[in-house]
Amino acid sequence: MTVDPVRVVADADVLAADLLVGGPDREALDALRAHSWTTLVASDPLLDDAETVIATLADAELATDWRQTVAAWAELVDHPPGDHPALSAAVNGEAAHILTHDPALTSAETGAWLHRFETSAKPPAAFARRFDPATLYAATVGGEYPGPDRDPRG
Amino acid sequence: MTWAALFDRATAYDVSLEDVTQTLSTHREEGEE
Repeated sequence: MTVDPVRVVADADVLAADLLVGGPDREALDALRAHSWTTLVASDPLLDDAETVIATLADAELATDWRQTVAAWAELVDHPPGDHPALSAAVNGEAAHILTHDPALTSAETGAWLHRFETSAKPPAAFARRFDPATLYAATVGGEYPGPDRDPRG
Repeated sequence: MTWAALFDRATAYDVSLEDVTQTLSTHREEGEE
């Protein structure tokens, strides 16, 4: 199995915090929104969880509009029902990174299990800090990094 | 809808990261029951 270093899963807490809180969650996802050669990997159950959080803490109309926008951006993958949505989306979607605030996912035990799938879970702040678009671009697309090629607010 | 428009609408709500993580945790625990 080969994972792609520019394929990233954001757990439902990160997706909702990107919209409702900002901070490192938005910074991490802005790095993906700004580069068309990266991929946000998700699943319907994962987006369902985030949509529920947004509807609970904000309102249903905002949650619905968010869902339409994020679904148009993300690559959706299927996974067995009952699986943890972020873990299973990463494994089935060959993503190298899972962004999450869940300490159970960033634990050493889960990390050892995820290592078998060549993926790892980390807080969004750590991802944003380590995101090196020039190196990733050279490794995955090839050539000199041209800078952001997409409006992260578009 | 653009991300800018969504983020602008979201500013109407005072939500913390703790609110988000707790709400998700509760939602997922309810789903397991």
